[in-house]
Amino acid sequence: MRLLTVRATSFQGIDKAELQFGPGLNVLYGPNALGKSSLAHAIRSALLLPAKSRATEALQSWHGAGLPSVELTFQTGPGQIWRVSKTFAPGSGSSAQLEHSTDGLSFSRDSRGRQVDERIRELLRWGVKGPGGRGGAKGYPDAFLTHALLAQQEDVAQILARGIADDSDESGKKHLSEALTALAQDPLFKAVLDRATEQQSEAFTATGRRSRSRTSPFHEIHERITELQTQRRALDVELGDSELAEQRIQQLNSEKDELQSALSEGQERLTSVQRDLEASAALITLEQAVATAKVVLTDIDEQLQTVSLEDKNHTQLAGAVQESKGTCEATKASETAARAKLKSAKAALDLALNQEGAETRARKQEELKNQLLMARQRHREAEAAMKSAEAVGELHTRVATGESELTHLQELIEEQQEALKAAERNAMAAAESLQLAESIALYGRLYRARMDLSVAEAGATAAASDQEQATRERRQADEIEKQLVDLNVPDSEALSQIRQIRQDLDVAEAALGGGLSVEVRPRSPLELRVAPDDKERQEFSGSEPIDVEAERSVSISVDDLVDIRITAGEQSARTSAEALREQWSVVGEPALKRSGVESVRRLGELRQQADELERSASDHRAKAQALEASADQGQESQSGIEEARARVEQRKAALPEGLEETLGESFAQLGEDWEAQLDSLKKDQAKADSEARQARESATTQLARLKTQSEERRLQLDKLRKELAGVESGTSKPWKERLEAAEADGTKATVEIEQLEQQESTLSGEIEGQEREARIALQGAEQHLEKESAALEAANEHHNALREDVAGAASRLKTLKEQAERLDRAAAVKAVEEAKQALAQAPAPAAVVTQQDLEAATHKRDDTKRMLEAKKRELDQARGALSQVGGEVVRERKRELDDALTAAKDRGREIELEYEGWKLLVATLRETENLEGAHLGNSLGPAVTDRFNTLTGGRYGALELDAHLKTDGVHVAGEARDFEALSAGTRDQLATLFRLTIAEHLGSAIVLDDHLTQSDEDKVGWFRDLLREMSERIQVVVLTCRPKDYLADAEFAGPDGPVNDRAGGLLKVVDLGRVVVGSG
Amino acid sequence: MSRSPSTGSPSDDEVAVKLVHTADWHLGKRFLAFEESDNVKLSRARLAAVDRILGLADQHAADAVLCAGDLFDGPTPEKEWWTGLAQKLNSASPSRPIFLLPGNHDPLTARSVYSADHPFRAALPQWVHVVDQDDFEYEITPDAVLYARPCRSLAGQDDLALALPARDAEDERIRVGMVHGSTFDIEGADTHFPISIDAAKQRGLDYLAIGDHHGFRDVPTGAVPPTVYPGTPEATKFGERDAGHVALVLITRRRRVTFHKERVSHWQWTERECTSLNDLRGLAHGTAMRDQVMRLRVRMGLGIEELAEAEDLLAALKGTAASHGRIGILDVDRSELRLDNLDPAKALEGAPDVLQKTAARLVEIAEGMGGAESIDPEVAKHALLHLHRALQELQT
Repeated sequence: MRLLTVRATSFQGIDKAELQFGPGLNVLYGPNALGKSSLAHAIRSALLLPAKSRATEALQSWHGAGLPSVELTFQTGPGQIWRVSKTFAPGSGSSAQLEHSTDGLSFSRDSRGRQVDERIRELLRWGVKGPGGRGGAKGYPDAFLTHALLAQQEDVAQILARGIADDSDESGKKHLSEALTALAQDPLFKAVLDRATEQQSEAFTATGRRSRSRTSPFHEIHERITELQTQRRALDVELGDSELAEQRIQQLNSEKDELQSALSEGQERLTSVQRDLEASAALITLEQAVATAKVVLTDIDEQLQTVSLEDKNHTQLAGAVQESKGTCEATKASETAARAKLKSAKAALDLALNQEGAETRARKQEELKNQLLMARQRHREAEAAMKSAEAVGELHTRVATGESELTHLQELIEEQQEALKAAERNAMAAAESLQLAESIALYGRLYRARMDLSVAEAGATAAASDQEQATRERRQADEIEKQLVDLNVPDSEALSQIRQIRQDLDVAEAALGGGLSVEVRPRSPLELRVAPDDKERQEFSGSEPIDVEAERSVSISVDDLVDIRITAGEQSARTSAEALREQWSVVGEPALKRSGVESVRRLGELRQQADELERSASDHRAKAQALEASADQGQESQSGIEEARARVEQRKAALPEGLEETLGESFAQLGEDWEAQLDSLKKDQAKADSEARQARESATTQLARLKTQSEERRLQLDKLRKELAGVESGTSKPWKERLEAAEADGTKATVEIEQLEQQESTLSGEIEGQEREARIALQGAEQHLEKESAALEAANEHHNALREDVAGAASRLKTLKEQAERLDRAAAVKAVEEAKQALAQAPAPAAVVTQQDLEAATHKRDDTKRMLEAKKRELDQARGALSQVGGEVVRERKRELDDALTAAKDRGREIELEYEGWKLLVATLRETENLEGAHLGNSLGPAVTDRFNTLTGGRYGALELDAHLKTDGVHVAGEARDFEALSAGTRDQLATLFRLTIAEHLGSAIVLDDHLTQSDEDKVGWFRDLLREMSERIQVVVLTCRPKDYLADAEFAGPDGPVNDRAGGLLKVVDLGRVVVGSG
Repeated sequence: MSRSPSTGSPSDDEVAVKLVHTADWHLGKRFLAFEESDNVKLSRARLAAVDRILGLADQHAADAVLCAGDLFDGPTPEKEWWTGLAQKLNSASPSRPIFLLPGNHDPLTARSVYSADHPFRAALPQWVHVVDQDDFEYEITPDAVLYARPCRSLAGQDDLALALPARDAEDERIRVGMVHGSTFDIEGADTHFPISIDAAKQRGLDYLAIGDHHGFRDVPTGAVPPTVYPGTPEATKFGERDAGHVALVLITRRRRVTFHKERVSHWQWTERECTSLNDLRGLAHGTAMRDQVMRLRVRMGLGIEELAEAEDLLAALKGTAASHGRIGILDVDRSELRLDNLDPAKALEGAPDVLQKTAARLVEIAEGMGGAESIDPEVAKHALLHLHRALQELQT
């Protein structure tokens, strides 16, 4: 510390005084009572005494001319010039102000009031605790260094009576320790310390904080980390968007897959139900097909049987015709022979008529002739009887054959009747089936109408549901939008602007950084609100001093009186920061306030929240819109409900009464594809119906034919029977017996005839010759011819009848065979087998299912399908959203940034370790040095002792100083002596040497007020030399009434002025008598 | 390396078309985890690799150069990158078409470097073709045709390969596809332009040139027709297996495909660990590795003097402002380089008492003793190291 100027007014004995100090020895001389001590006191008061202190009463002008005031200018270091101005008064009227200047010309206010003393004590570091509070100085502070450097005239020796440990504040001891240890350093230690300090200073401020200057090693890495973190935060947002979009897609894909799987299951279930229903229907159809094929086969078999019977009949008739033909031919031959025989007999007779003896012969011949006629009559009768019997036998045979045929025909008729009945049943069944199919079709139409109704009703219900859901969605959207309004968060662009302003402001404020330390020392209880760096305000009440540390600014509000804002940084930076603050206050703060948040980060989170809400609201509205569109469509179906209902009733009425349930069951078996099934069924049934009708017609035709045949046979049989009855009437003998009798009669008659004819022949030969024989032969021939002609006629007649029968049978047989040729029994058998095989192979339904199962499965499948389609649309939207985000690119960049950030943090950690290491090294070096040099007495004692020994010519030994510079005494002749044992002059000299040595170590100014008054000239002269030597290093202000003790004659102030600057400014002489205007 | 999905190797007279297939140049990429000087080296190397790729195409008389996406690290690179690329492409052979495909890093958008009104397009010679149409088709030779489809966003779910046209029944030409995206076996492929496992087969392609993955690989291995990632010509980070190549593709008239891996990178990225001071000495005094980007993990505990030596060796490896390092680019992980054997007496032998006491005090702090538990022991170790080094320097 060095004094520059002082100006005192109305201060004790001084009315007015003003002077400048030189940097070296300042000798201020004047007679006693001039005001020298007042001037020393003024300097002391300006530096140490609070302006309101009660002790100021002693400073009042001795003549009551105004309040005492002092203005003192002093320097604490290069460019650190201070001007303190105080007006002293114990009550009102006092004032204090400290101003700062770097050039000594322009000053700016540093502090006022009580803060002035606080500030000065910080600057001086003299071990004086701040004014006020517990331990605070009242009046003049009492500290070791205040005594050492500004001791009052009467207190000089006090320096020997107290130690620095008695100080109320450590600053004096630290100050002195630093000064002493600096002097005591080992060169290598100092070099290490200098190196470490130099390294430390690259990174840390004088107060030990990390430097924020651009040259600081922390600056670049800090900037780097901040930049990377900023980039990463931005990427985090992008990545968040990306991950949301990707998660959304993954979720939707998963949901879609689940729906796809559910759809497959639904489709499988539906297919299974349909398959079971189809299997059931197929089984019925196949059973019907088997029955139909069997009917066809039976019909064919019956027709073939008819052909076989007819063929057999024809064969029998043909045999009979052949037989009859043989008979006719034999009879013809017999008749031809009989004609030849007649011709021969006529020739013989003609020959005989020309012979003699006609009468005798005639008689005998007549007799024989009669006998022969009688024999022949008997023979004829026998033959007739035989013929009759044979005819009867033939009739019997024919009757038996006819009966057999009739029985067979009857059987055929019965079979055909059965076939006809079966065909009629089939036709009826087919007709009924067809009718049933038609009824099922009607039911199908009813079902469709009901489905339409159901769909319409479901549509209406769904529409109502959709409408309700849409309303809910809109309500949710409204609520969300209300939340959005409540959030009152700026849009992204505004947020971006706010962020930019905040960031710029942070950067601008960071540029202001460098640190502020504000000390508030209320002189009276105050209400204070303090906000460092625009952070949250803290409230203080009372008069306790407050220390405020800040990076860039401090805002202080004192009661409701004044708002103080202290800002660091250069003007341009402040202007820039202020502009940004203004911008921030206009744009940022209102936005934060509106949103009820305190930070941009929180605002960003709110924006994200708002974005989420907006997206959610948009989703709800989109859903609502989709639902309303769906509801509108559903509403359109509302009008169709009544029509559908009417159709249902109409179609229900069209159903056969009481069959709805049955038809419903049948319909249910048709499955979903019921129309095609029904068409197919109807076609099959129409075909079956047609086939049944054909079969019935065929059976009817066949039956009619068989009946006709049967009737014909019956008529023939009746005729034969009548004929038989006619020929058998009048006899009871069986025809075989009669035949045998007739044959016997015939044989007898033949023998008799042969005998008679022999006799006649003999007679003819004997009696009249040959005439008779000829006549007999002629007659026999005529009779034989007649018989043969009759037989021939009968045989021809029978033959012709048989031929007619054969022709009829052949015609029928031909017709039947033609019909039979058109029949394909193998195909029919195959059809039956195939139908049976198909039936056997037809899969049985896995489960018993109903139409309701089918409907339920269909509904479920369709619902799932709709949901899947909706999900796919959502997925498409999400995919669209995906193209708007960064995806893997952002993720990669995030990874790179993370790596870079890790590397930067590692680098930051290395730098931190590097420089914290230097800092710790500096601290540890100093700590160790302090430990080593903490014994101030050891450090300071030798210097004082050396000078004291020189001054006293070795009369005294070592000065005993403890660690806290408390003097225990001085060695004299090897013994320690108390200071009280020393003479006042010696004590004064020792105290002065002690003070000068302390001032020298501190590099501080020292004021010596009329000291050494009891020393001899030699001692004073020695001191004069010492002071001049020391004035090259420190400022010494000597106030004396004996200037000759310090000055040569030529050095006194001359007539030109009260001040004489000499020795290049190292000696300044002031004639106070011409500078101080005394009160007197 | 030579890979041929078909048996045998085609002789030159059978070869119908030769292609150089490359991708993932990432021009303009910054290496933020590296120091700025190293970042510059690595960034510049990416553009320099284009010369070697074009030189390879000259050397093999390739019919075309297929560049399958991510040629720029972002859709709007700084001018220096696209002008640099345009200069190199202008100096390429005019007879050889070069196809540039927008990838997911540099998608084709209204404002991207590939947009029609971007000056990059105007700077390109006529033999350079940007795939800026979804139905891009180019007849490389009368027997060979290229189909390609660009990325139009940073992310997407579309399978661009399956979007290529299918082969007509009567089409006997060689068909080559080119898209950018992730094959089915890459995590997250479903949202990163997925490429189906059999896309080449489905589309009737003889070769599917793809980009995105930074290592050389065909997917699935040995598949016919092949789907190949050539990888990036210069690796972008540690651990990128088989990076630094392009694919040289030969297709015969009978559409048999052979592809070879051709190295084009300047830098080799390696990771190494030293667990003893001798290891480190060996590395520092061994052969210089100026084409290597090395991550060196130093895992050892050393005394004060040894640690000082280790730091000197690391400085020699890395280089200083005044000297080249023995390793091209060195990234040292010191997290496991410990200062052990805290015996300051030997290290500070002969030093003033106050310095020895200072060192003893720092050892106490480093070992968590002496009432200074709040101080990071590592800071104390660094302070000790500083003290030792400062003494060494001052005493010499």
